[in-house]
Amino acid sequence: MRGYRRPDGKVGVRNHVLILPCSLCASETARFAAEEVEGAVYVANQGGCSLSRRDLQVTLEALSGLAANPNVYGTILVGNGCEVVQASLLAEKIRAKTCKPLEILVIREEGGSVRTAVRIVELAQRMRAEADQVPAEEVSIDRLILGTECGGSDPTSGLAANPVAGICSELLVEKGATVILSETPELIGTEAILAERCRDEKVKEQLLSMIKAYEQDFLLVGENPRNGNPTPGNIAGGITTLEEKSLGCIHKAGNCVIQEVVPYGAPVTQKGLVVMDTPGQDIASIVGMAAAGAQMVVFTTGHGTPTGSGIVPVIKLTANQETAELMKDNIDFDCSEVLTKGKTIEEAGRELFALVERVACGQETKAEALGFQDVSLARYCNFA
Amino acid sequence: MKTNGILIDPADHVVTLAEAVKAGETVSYVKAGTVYGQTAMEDIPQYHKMAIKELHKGQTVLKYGARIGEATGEIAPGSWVHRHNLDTGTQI
Repeated sequence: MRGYRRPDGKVGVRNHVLILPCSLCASETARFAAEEVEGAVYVANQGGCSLSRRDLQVTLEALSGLAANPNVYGTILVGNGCEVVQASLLAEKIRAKTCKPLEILVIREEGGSVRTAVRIVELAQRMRAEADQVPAEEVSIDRLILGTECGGSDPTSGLAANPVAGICSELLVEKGATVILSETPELIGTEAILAERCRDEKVKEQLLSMIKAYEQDFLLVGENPRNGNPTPGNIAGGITTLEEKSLGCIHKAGNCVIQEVVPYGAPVTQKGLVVMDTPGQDIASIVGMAAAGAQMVVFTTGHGTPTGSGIVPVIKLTANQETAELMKDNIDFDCSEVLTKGKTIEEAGRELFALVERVACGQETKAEALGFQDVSLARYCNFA
Repeated sequence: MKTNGILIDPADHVVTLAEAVKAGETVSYVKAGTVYGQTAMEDIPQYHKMAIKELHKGQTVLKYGARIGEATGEIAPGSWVHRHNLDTGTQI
């Protein structure tokens, strides 16, 4: 792959300058500044204030992780001044994760939005020029951390798209890279299967308690995530049991051994397959994996979805021929021939792997070409 | 070559149908590079499962190379496998 080496030792496949608002109150100022800087990405932060203690920790972990993401050259942090996620607090968290360039601006201290925006543009342009000096080098694919995600699923997802992604995941793990499996609610029902795939007892225990805690959160508000699954639509579509449904989902990580279990947005430290505790909402899950250090995401879909990220390229694939046709603007890889022409899952998986390599060498994904920068963060409580 | 059945893992007891089949039609699928055929015993809808092995009551049924439940009755090769003869069983 083609990588940008960072002073913290990590390697990115993109070379972004990030403008990161600490809270929703700083977001619009950050946005209009970001629009003035070519080659800067921006995170539309809808949270960052009125947070419970637990949500504060989650937000700090995720936002600091985005700044530390290897695809980011440097970050301009923008606070309003009174929010729960104080710029100084977030800066401290970022510095604990990385030594990359970091600038901090507080809107009140700068003298309002206009003056702050002018400063952001100035700093971002300088950072952009510095970033452009970083050479792209040939690096081994074992430096890649690939996030996996599925959304807008239909019967073709579990049948073909996810197994195709699974082959790609296995190839990457064989080559020494890292793959993240996400979406805790979709792991419910596969505890026995996943437990057998854990490296050791400790990882197994972490995985089972992660799934249990997720379920517990639902039970606290009187919901049971096991109820209603598989749905009548799933059953009509040929899915018989909850295990079968969840297996269709987890198959995007192949049959790899689970080396580590990490909380939402926390850095990944192991090679091989890592499970991250993320919500079932696609975009929040992708942001969590980007915060963990993933430089790229593979996203399987049946119905089709436009999702992209400002930080990481998102490769979208489908095995639904109609979706591939209708959503050409959004779909990067059509593997419907597995269902229509007898192409093997193995063959399609190898093609997907080749696409991952090309995107790691700079090929633009559809969502990148459209400039999509979807953002959502996991959260637990209502605003305080 | 065009096949109409998908065997996800070589250990699986079932294939999933890429298109609906009628009783008596052949479902073809690839296993380790070789094409196999199995006659459907009944009409089976698109994306539903068909047994490719004889399965006995109480036996663990594999798809994705993993357990998706257990047979609640005798299942002959070529049979439709769904809620009438497969259930989660006791593990959950």
